[in-house]
Amino acid sequence: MSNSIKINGKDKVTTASTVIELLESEKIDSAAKFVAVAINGSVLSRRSWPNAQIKSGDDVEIVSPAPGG
Amino acid sequence: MTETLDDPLTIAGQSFTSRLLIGSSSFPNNQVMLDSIEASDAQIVTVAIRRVDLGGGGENILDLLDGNYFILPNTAGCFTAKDAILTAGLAREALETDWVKLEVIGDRDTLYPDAEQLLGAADDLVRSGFKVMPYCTDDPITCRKLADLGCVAVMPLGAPIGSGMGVLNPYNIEIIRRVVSIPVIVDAGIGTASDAALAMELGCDGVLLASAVSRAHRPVMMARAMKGAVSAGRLAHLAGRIPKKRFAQASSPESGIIGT
Repeated sequence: MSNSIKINGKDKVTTASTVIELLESEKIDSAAKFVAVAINGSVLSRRSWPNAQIKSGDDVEIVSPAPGG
Repeated sequence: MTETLDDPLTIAGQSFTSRLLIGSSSFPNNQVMLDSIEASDAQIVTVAIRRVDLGGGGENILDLLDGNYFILPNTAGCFTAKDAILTAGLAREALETDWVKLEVIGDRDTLYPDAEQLLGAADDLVRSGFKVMPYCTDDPITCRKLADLGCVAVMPLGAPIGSGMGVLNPYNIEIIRRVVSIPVIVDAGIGTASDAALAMELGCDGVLLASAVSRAHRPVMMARAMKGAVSAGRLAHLAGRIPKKRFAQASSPESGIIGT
């Protein structure tokens, strides 16, 4: 089953059903440090990623630290 | 107890030997960034939180900095309390830290803080257990309110971000130093070493800068200059400057002058 979602501001259709699967489909190492995920404005703890469900209409933010002042 | 040059900068119970905080952005390349941070002697290094590149690739700045510095994430780029709170939450998860340099910007041209949104975000984040270091205007009332909310430091601007105009209202900075008991760190507007020295001479506990070093013609050299300036300014503050006077006061003896 595929879901229409938004990832980092971009519309996307995905077959991923969990956050872990979504990260893998986007070639983001789910074991890598310094990555954080929020869905619909709520931050998800890393340990919840394997079970956190992706639903159609979700607005997903995947972030990490970057140079800043 | 009399303060000394060697007193650490203590924020929320955490002590730092350096009173210079430095940003990690806008350097010509990573090696210059690392060399500059090392030359500055800073221990606290700020980073932003940004969307990752989908599809993989790209190195993370933390791979270069982690383990060597105290990483302070910011909420730069946020224009609402809601976005700043979410960004702080993402930073806490990504970096496993409760510390945040809180920025809520009100205007793209000046990048001035939006005091109303800032106070709201600070209140929420403090209640959520964050150690909040807000970037704010050089307004003593806003700073006092931020301190009253439980922020662990206030960081009034010297001048607009990246402007390099220095400390435009030293009188306000002095007042802020008097009205809050938490650390006061001048953040933004520093252009060169004398600006950092002035901030410290006014009694500030530290200086946070980025562009002044990263965009200098020779960043590593400027980083060294900033280290010296913060130390010199702190020393001058502790020593106590002479009062400014309208007229001259001779420094040589006024008796025994020939021809009198």
